Amino acid sequence: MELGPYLLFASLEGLVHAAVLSLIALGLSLVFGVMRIVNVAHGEFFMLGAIITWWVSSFVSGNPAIGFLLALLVVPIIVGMTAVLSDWLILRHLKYDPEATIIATIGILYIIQQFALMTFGPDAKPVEQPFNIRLDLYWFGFSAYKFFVIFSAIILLLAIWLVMSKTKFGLILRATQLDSETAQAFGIPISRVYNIVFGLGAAIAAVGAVLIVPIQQAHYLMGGEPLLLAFIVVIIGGLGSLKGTVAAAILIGMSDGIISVFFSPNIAKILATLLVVVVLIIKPNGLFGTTKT
Amino acid sequence: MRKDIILHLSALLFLFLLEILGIFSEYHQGNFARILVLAAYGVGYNILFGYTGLLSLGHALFFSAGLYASGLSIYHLDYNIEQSLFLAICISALISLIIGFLALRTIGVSFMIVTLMFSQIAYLSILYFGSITRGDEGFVIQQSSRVFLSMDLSNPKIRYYSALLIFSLCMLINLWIAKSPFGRVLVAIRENSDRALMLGYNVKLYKLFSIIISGTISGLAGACYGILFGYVGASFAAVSYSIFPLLWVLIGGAGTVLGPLIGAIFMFYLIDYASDITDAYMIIVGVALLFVTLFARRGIIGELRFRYYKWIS
Amino acid sequence: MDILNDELLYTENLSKNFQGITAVDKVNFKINKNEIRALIGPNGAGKTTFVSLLCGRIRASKGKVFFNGSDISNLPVYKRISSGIGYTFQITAIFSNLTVYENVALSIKNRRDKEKRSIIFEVLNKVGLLDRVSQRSGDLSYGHQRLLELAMGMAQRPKLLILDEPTQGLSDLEIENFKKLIKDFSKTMTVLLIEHNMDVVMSIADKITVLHFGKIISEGDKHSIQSDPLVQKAYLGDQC
Ligand SMILES: Nc1ncnc2c1ncn2[C@@H]1O[C@H](COP(=O)(O)OP(=O)(O)OP(=O)(O)O)[C@@H](O)[C@H]1O
Ligand SMILES: [Mg+2]
Repeated sequence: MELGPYLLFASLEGLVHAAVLSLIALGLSLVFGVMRIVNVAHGEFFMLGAIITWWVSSFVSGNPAIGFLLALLVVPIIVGMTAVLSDWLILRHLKYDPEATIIATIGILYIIQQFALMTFGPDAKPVEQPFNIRLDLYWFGFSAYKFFVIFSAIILLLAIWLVMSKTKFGLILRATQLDSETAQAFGIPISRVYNIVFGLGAAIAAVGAVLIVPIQQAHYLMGGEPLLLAFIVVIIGGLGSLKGTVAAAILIGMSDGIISVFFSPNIAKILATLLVVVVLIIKPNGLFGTTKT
Repeated sequence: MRKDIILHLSALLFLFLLEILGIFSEYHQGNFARILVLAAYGVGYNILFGYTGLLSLGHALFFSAGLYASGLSIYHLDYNIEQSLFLAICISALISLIIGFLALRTIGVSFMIVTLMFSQIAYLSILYFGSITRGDEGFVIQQSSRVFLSMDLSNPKIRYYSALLIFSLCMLINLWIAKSPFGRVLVAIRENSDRALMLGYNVKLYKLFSIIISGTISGLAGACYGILFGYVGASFAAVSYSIFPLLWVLIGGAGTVLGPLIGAIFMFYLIDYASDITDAYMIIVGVALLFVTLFARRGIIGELRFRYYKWIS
Repeated sequence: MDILNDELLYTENLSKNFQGITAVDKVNFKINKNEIRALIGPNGAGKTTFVSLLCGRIRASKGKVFFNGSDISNLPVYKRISSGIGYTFQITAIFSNLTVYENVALSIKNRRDKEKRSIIFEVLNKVGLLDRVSQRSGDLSYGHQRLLELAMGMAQRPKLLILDEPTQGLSDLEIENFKKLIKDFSKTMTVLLIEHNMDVVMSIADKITVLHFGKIISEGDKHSIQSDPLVQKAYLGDQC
């Protein structure tokens, strides 16, 4: 293949990654924005989504599309409920103290991951694509399903944007994000909101997992890398900003895809991580705010 | 003051007696040698986290800096043990200085994330430069290189004493810091850094010193781990090796001298036991992390100090 | 010549902007040695911000601070403190897990142990906390915690001691005691006191500065301040 088409191919692959990444990052950003906590277990909620998708699809025989649609319906709910439960059982008791919350979410990370290892096993397992159509793009063929992934992510992002900007629920979230104490004074039930947001953040990541599994296979260690990338996206895109997150996800997803294709995946991650460090060091208080002592 | 020093010295004496009286089985002797070196790493971590109040999520960077500095210099450059240890100390001090200088521009959550990211960069670099580091697979330091003052460090007995020596050294440094005016200022910074600043302390400089001491001790522990147990691999640079010392310190008691040792013994045997039952033994780490954050914030020694023995350092 | 020698600290056009708000607006302020100066003004007038600029806790947007004859505008906090400025926070800020003794000890630097101990006992004796010397400071009553802060400020032996609303939340009895202490302090140091309690201000301040919307609107002894219509308006305006 010549360079031009090759670049196009790499960009398309990058776009698929960017689409899923923006969903994962958005979940992380939502949780941080509203609750002011860093959820280190976020990647594991994504992984949980992936293995449950495998489960659902292996449970449903026949047309893979049925299993896929079923997964799209139930997986976000199961994963969301898991997150709600962990907030209710654990985080709420820590009063969302930043340090304790990080430590606790690391704990949750290991528990979910190792639980997956126990039940799902150590091997990567594939999920069949709901439809298997290849589009001929003149220089190379490209799976139609990958376009579907991009398309679905866009739809979901638009839906989230609508909810955030046009509904009363969105208003409540924005008010809480701005100033939780005042919001509480105006009768917003903060702890319920936190509970829901934590579940929602995980559920959004789970949708990303359902979409990616037919391309990428499910594995119990698959949560680490998207967590790292989502951190990078959220930090570069600015916390709580939907547009910034999507823009940064496209930037990071694409360059990760392209650099990985042309050089090595590790170099791509090293560069992206360096970028974050630089951003954080230049803007020390900009992103996570100053924690009060 | 007196009681305190006696307590810590007798803990060391006890560890010495365990060996000299031959109480250990071979299995536990090996385990304890490992635990002692890891506890030295925990002591290093504790100086930054427990005393200065800075939560790093990237200490595996310092541990592996020492590990690889000594390991690679023995493996590729035929350094002897003294030279490689010296190199490891210098390199980990230098890296702590640089990382500290950069990371201390941030505070709170950003500090945790930045340290995590730095250590990720180190981990990925070790994988990337696989032709030198042998990547994931790692490399073995031959027995013939592991000789110090004509003693064979792979001999279990000598290995145990060496590990105890390293741990004692780090622990005594820790004790001395805890008792010194410098240590008091670190604690003041942990308790209320704004106030410490307004009392006229150069808080940033103190934090930087704390990172350098912490990172160098961690690096020394890493170097000794490679030398005593003969293996160097990328897994020691992975995130879990940043979480372990945090966990040991939390379990044993942050800001206590004996805490890291108690925590390391506890976790080592818990994981050892769990790994006999299941491959998913790391679940223990998760449960333990939740347990300490939810129910035992002070840790074992910390709780003892809070309730009964106020004099424990 | 004499007047020049007498001034301990002065500012030139000192200003601070937070996004959009000018919290301190071109303030020219002067305080003389051994004076007790009260800084008053309605809530949000910029008092805390102003003194934070003096000790460097917040960086000024514009303007200069001179202390003891030299320009300290670009010095970091710790250098300003060691050159002789002491500061206590508006909110209680002690090291609550450390003992009373350790708290005071932390505020004394560069002295030999023996000397240090005698200073600690002296200041604790003065504020009346000597019998609590080895108690965990977090276990002290609120009034005692504020006294401890005072003791810490005193133990620093600063040339200028800045106190941000030290009597907030104290009982009448405690306030009387506090007034005596400040009078006593001013024999050896200059005191800049932010205070809402007018009784305290009127009975101990030599001179009063009124800040409103970040500007000095009036300055003088208690009689001139009490009769200044601008001051009355600022306070009344605050109440509506
Ligand atoms: N860090 C900050 N960021 C933005 N605005 C600030 C900040 N600190 C203070 N302000 C604003 O500057 C103004 C002055 O605040 P300051 O705390 O100095 O007032 P004050 O006179 O000490 O009030 P009080 O009597 O309530 O203590 C206020 O409008 C406040 O909201
Ligand atoms: Mg104020």
